[in-house]
Amino acid sequence: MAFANAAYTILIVDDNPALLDLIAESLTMIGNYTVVTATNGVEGLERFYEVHPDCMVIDVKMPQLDGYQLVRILRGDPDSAATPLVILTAMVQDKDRFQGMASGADQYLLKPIKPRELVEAIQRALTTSAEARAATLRRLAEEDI
Amino acid sequence: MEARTTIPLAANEREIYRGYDRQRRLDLTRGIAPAFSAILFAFLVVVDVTAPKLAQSRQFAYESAHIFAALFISNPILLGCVAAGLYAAVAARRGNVERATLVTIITTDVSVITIQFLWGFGIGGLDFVSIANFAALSMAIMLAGMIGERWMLLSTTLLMNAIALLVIFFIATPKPAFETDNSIAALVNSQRLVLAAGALLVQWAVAVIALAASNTYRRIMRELGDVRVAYERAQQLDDLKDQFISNVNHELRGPVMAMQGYLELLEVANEGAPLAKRQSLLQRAQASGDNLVTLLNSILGTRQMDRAATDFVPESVNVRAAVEIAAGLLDPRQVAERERTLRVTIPPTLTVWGEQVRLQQIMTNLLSNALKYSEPGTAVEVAASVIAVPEKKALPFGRTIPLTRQMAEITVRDYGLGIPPAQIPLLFGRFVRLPRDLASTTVGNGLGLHLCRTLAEAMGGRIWVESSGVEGEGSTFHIVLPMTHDA
Repeated sequence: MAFANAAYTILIVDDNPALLDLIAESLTMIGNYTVVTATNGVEGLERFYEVHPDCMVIDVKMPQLDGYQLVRILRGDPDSAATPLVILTAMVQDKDRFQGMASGADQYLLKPIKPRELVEAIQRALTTSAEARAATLRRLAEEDI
Repeated sequence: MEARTTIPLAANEREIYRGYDRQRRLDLTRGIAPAFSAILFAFLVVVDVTAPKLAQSRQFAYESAHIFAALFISNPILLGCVAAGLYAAVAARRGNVERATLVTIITTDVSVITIQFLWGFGIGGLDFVSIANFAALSMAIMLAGMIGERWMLLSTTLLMNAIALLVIFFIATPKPAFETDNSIAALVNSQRLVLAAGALLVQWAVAVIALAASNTYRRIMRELGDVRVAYERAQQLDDLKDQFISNVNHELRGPVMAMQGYLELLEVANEGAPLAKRQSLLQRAQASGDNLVTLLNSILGTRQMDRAATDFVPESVNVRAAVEIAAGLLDPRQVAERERTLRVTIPPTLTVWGEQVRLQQIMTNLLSNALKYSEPGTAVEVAASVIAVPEKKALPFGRTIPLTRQMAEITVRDYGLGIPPAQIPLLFGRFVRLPRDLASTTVGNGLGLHLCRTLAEAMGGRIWVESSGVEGEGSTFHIVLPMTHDA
């Protein structure tokens, strides 16, 4: 079930090296994406401006800058406001979920998640956001006319 | 992003009892002080209106000059007492319990004494009004017992004793208007001794009743306090357990996801990936499984140790050897990741009376914490020495003789983050983790130091920590253990 996705670059931000390795491996093997990794929020932000990924997978509990803060920063910058963002966290309580969605992420996924499910979710985020962006552009264009 | 960022610190339990008693005295003073002012003011009005009319009495010779002089002196004093009562009420509202109660008691004392003297020396002399007024003196004692500390009750009682004696023995009986009628004066004069004895007895009886009542009240409050302390402790433990469960839940998800993930990737790869790739995935799945087992063991292991801490046969344990073994048992990944110098200054012959494995566990925990909470490159120092601990040997009849006992003190010092002093009291509690660690990714279950304390105490020793909480100054853990009995 490999996708022809090498054109897509995915940035993964997680401070757990074992999981970072697993997710990178999964996205390369199953999703066939180009993968870039970062081990904390600050590094994630730096990497974003280096590679301008097509989608980001972000852990929540990280030193320095946590996942929610990172999402809010990215959503606040016009450069990154339209990038699909996927939160992947071990925090499973409802209030956390609300906070995750409220911060502006497209998807909120819970650990443990299987590699295939993760790739499907990323694929969904990529396509949904592309459609949403297209719809927005169409609407803007129609308003101009 | 834990919801709870502060650990409820163990409240000073004595403070809880004191808090109850303070509240009781405040509540009473809030009610009594303004009521007292109002009653005193009403009394003042009544006296000022009725006293001048006494001059017209036919049976006794009240002198107008005396009456007005007495009112002239007592009016400002009593008005002052009315104001002081209001001031006490305000102080009580503001929660200043010492000031409010002291002012109320002094005000009451001054006003009942003034009234006693106003009548006794100024208007009527030692007559039935003066004697009836003794009830007011007793009231002051009762009040001091209700809202005051013990010393206030005692000093008020002694003061009122003195006032009663002064009134009974130094005030003249009322002058009859006619030479022929001195029946009341004669009666009172013949009974001064009985009066004095009666007055003192009644005053002490009131004092004892007030004391007994307040003692009973304090005891009940103390018991109520115990219940509240027990409740708060249970509540705290419950909170900490919740925290622990959510922590463990969080920690377990990582390795579970990694293991499951690599297995699924192996399944995906099976279709035609090179052998090396498949083996590498399998190895990583196994490593995650191992992580999971380590995590589970650290949780369950500490629980079991906790229960069996005292179940050992004491023996002579060489401290230096135990520390060296403990250092060798540290998680190699942790050591490799965060390299630093371990300075050990322990006399090679120093031994303690305990159990090898338990001492090793304490040292492993403390060393691992020292690594976890300090920067690579900083030093970790372990030292041990013999200290003399003063203690008291009990003799019959509750006597004690002071002795000193030789104990071994081991210290583990790091130059890391340190511990905020306010959070030290709870540090050794079960499931306790500092707010900063909950908010960070530092792995831990809040059981390590609790285990250290359980083990140290099981071996007849104790453990404590000193830290300024300033980053870089680190913390020093002290463990004091009994030495091997020297013959």
